[in-house]
Amino acid sequence: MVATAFNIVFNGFLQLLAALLLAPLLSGIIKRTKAFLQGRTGPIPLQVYRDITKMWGKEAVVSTHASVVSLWAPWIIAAAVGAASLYIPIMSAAPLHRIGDLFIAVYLFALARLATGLLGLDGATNFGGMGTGREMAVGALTEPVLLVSLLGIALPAGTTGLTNMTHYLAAVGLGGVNLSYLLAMAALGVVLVAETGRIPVDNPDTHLELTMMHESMILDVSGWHLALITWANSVKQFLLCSLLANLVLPWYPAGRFLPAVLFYLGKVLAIGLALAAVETAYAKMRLFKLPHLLGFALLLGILGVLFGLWGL
Amino acid sequence: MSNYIHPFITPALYVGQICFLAGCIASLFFRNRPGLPRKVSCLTSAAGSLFWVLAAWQGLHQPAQGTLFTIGFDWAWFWRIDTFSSLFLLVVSGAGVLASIYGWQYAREYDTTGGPVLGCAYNLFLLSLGLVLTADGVLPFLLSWEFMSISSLFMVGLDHQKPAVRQAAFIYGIITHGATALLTIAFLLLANLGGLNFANWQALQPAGAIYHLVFALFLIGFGSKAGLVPVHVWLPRAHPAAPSHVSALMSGVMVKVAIYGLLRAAFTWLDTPPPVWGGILLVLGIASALTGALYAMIDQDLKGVLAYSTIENIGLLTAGMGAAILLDSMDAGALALGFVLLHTISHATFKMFLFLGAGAVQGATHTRRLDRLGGLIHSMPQTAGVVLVGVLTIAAVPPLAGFASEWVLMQVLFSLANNGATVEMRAAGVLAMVALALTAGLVAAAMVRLFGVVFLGRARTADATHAGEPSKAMRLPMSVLVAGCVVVGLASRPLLAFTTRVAAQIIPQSMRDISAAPQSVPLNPGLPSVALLLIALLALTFLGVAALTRHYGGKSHAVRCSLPWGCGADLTPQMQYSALGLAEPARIIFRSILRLKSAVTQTHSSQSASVSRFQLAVPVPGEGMLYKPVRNLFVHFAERIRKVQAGSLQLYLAYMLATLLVLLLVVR
Repeated sequence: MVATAFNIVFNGFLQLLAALLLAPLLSGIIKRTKAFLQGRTGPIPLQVYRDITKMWGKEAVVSTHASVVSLWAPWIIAAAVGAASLYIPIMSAAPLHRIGDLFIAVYLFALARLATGLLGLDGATNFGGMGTGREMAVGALTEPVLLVSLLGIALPAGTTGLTNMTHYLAAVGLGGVNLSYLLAMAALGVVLVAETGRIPVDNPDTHLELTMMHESMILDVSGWHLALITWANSVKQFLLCSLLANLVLPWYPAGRFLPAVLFYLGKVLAIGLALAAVETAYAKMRLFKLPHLLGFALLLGILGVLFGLWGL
Repeated sequence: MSNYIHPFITPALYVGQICFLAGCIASLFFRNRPGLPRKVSCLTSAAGSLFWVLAAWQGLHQPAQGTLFTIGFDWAWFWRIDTFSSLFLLVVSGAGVLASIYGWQYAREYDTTGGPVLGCAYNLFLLSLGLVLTADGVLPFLLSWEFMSISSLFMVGLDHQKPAVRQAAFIYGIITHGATALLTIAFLLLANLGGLNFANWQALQPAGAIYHLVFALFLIGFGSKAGLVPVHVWLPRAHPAAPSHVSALMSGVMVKVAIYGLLRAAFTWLDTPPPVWGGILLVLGIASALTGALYAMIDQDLKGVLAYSTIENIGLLTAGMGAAILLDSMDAGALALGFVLLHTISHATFKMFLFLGAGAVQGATHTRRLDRLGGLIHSMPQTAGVVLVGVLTIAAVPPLAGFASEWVLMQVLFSLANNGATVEMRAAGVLAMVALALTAGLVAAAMVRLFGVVFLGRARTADATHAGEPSKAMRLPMSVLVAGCVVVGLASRPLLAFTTRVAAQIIPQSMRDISAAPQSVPLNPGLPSVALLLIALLALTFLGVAALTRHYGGKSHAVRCSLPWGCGADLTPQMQYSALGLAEPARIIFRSILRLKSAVTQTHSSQSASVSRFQLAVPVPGEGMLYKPVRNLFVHFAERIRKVQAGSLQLYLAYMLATLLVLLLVVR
């Protein structure tokens, strides 16, 4: 009992800390890789840390028309994403996997999106409203895709716990790889791109009004507020990459600490590099073509689950 | 033990009824003294509701029954409360107390117009809600049901000077009476088997087609009162038209009484429905949830958005009921009904205070149009706080009550998808979950739009600039409800265990054995409440750090205010994103489903600038397809039959003669 408690606290705490601290590094590596693939040099991966610490030390400027919502929203976003990291398996088990499941994680991300949406409207500027309208509508479409792609694994596993799902996949090994699983993973891949706000769904590097979604909502955010949101976004990206990595490659070298850590970091990195490659290979999609992509992913996911029910 | 009736229940119920009746009569009696009917009616309804709260509290522990009065020698008005009806009565009368306190100030604007009618109808409404829940026979049930419909109809039509309100009341009147007619047929069909008293109505089994007919009649009759798609068309019109504390009661409580009827019909009166009805309920529920969410995203009226959200929530409740039928043979069936009761409680709390908050906004700004509001968080911070909690709850944000019930519904559907008896059932579970996730996303978007446009940013009109907080008497009920909502969210686990136990009392014996212990229910992987508490704690920690940072952070963590950059021009409030604009992405994405007609008209003024107007027609969904043909049929039939009434005296005498002859021939 004591050993288990220690295990939960130690493992959980360590993993949590790693996720919260390593997340900006993943963002930096993706940026650097993207630059490399585009024939540029790009900033060094540690630049994201420098940006965050620099912004953290600066005062925040908010709109005269802003309310208390603008003051708290960055904290709520950070809190929601931080809480989500307690329920998503990072290296082995999610710290709170016994008392929370995929729904809590999905709805915590929804809370972060909602707070960002309100933040966008609070300053009484046009860009914020534009971003909120777009992001909330597209978010409404990504949520079912995320759910259905996770269901593709949750149903055969017979549990909605994310950690239990990875354990199930690790136990069945390659026997678990079937049509249903592959479709679910394809759908989850699309969700990863959409939820991290990357090309072809959204462009994290642009400030052009025709294409912005997420960046548009936080266009007026500055200083240490922006540091919080940037950090929270990189954590969200890290968590989603980690989730996909754990579902695609659920194994880890048992018993040995260092190889396990290296293997885990390797697979998350691989997902991140894939994201960078996708961003380089594709062009930004027109805003109202997005429902087609997400609808396609949704149908893939549903087909996958139904195939699973019929035992394909 | 079972014969023991707590000595308090009967007098409390009766004193409550007397209070309501007294309020009814006194409101009309003092009709010539403006303001007095309001005060009297609010006092009596608050007192009556309070007595009923006490009775319902006792009824939770100890069932009771009795006779209200006897007519002649062979008919009496029987009443009965058991744990199940007590739970609903508790919600109804608790809501009644708070709405009455709110009405004390809020109904002031009706003092000169229709105050006595409002006072009378309001008391009658609360009385009939309670009487429906305690009725123990066909006649008491139908009579109080009809009183409930008529009294609410009066309050919907209170602003009858406005054509839109008259139309809303007219449509409500037609649909609610159609529903009562269908219910009457269903009741009479069942009375053939079990008599007029509900005491003998235990799992009645009408033969074959009659069963399905009765169930269909119950579903349409109760469903149209609850606002289930496609018989919901009155709801988004009627709920906003009533005074806000009445809207709150209609949306928070009256629709639940319909759910109560449907639950009684499906699980107590009739034998457990076959799976096909479970499937139908699930489909209708999901359709309602999606429709409600989509139109909540588009509607331009503050209370209209809330009314559509009610349709969405009724959809969730119905889907839960459908899942309960499909999961009949499993212990998750009881959990599904536990969800229905849990969500009944939480929806009643948050929808109540949202409507009360909307009433405060309407009272302060004299408008409900989203695009005329804005920036109210500065002038009405407390109301904004109340509405924010409600908005977050509806959007199913952890750790609030909306998330807790959504989580349970997801678990129920997951167990349907995982252990359903047939592949079709399991597929239905999966599709329902996907649709529910889409609903949740749309609702979140609708709620961000609602709160953002009304409370954030800058005031769009002068009305919204000069708004102010409502009085204490109006703020108190809202604060109580907000606190209740937060408690329901955090204590959702023990509450769920309780509601599952209550649900187990009305469900058939086959489901009852296993459900007695809700711990056996496959809630995987664990307790939501603990998780919710942890989330709350974590969020509080973050917020604490935030407060400290702002307090002690020094210059580097300061927040400075500055005018937003407007590309060199001055930003005006009209340049903010409007409610219409915020809904546009969703409107374009779902255009093939919505089929809205929009038009841009340009008018050239005498100056060189031309003014463009954008108009969007948002018809109530389903009206064109379902109701127009029925209406046309009626009109057609009425025109045919009008020929009979030609206006000549001889003809009418001839009719009389003919009738007499026919009667003599047939009856003799």
